Amino acid sequence: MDAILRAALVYLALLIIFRAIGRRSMAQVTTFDLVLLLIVSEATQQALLGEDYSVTMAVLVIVTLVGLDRVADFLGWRFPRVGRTLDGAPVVLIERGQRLDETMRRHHISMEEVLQEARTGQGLRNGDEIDYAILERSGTISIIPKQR
Amino acid sequence: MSGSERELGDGGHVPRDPVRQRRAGAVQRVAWAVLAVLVLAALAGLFGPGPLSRVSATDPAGLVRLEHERFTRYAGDTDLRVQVRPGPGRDGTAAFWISAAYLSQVRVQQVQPQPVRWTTSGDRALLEFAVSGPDPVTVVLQLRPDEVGLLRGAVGVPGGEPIGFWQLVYP
Repeated sequence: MDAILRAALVYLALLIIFRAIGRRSMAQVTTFDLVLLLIVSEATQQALLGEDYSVTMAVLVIVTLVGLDRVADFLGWRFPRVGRTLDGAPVVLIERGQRLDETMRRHHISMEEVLQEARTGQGLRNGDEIDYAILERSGTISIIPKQR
Repeated sequence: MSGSERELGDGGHVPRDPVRQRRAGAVQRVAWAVLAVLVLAALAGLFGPGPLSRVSATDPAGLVRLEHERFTRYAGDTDLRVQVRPGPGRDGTAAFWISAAYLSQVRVQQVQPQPVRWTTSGDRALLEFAVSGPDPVTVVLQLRPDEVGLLRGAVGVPGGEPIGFWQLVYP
């Protein structure tokens, strides 16, 4: 009982925290974000297992976490409003080459980040070549270049 | 899942086999049901602390009462609660014994309250506690199982009927 309740509580807490903070923090944008992710996993490990290092405990915790994630996925698919609450909706940052500054400011995304994504993902040189830039639910920015 | 397969299908590299797909779907559903049962069983206490795990027993004379967990985990925390009445003719002390074989399979973290005497004779460890008045005293032994499998033990008062118990320790 304790294993399931602990895992469910940690899942809920992490869900709320990362939903509140915003999606970019989980997308490993910088080295420090990765370090932060490792520290978070280290901290939650204590809360999940306590001092119980038995195989049974590990299996129960894993099954609970994966199961809850799957249930959340199902609820998001079955009830689109729940899905939007859990994962958010994709946000358009650049529309037909037009920067939506207000949206970018609201999501704290600078043009630098969009350009970095455009360079690494699409090999684009500058912002003029971007037709669409979309902040996806996963936290990554997808770039659609203009047709030449 | 099936959507992407359909898109790749006309290349001929991904064989579309509806029978196999349906079978895979069925297997997955069964797996999910098994996992759900596993979680419910764990919630009920079949793999550790929980309502199904916690049991208590009393000896026929009503001198000692034992409360323990039937299902525990290796190196996980568990406890034995022994409620014992001060024996007749033994003023100021309450005593009970635990089978030494059981104690050798667990690590005793703490005994609350502290016993005034802990003596071992044969296959029994006798614990004596200082009490005042005729009220029963509840002793909590915090333990960590040191062995995996079925542990058997017994608790009793000197001269009384023993209460046998078992404990399943998961790896």
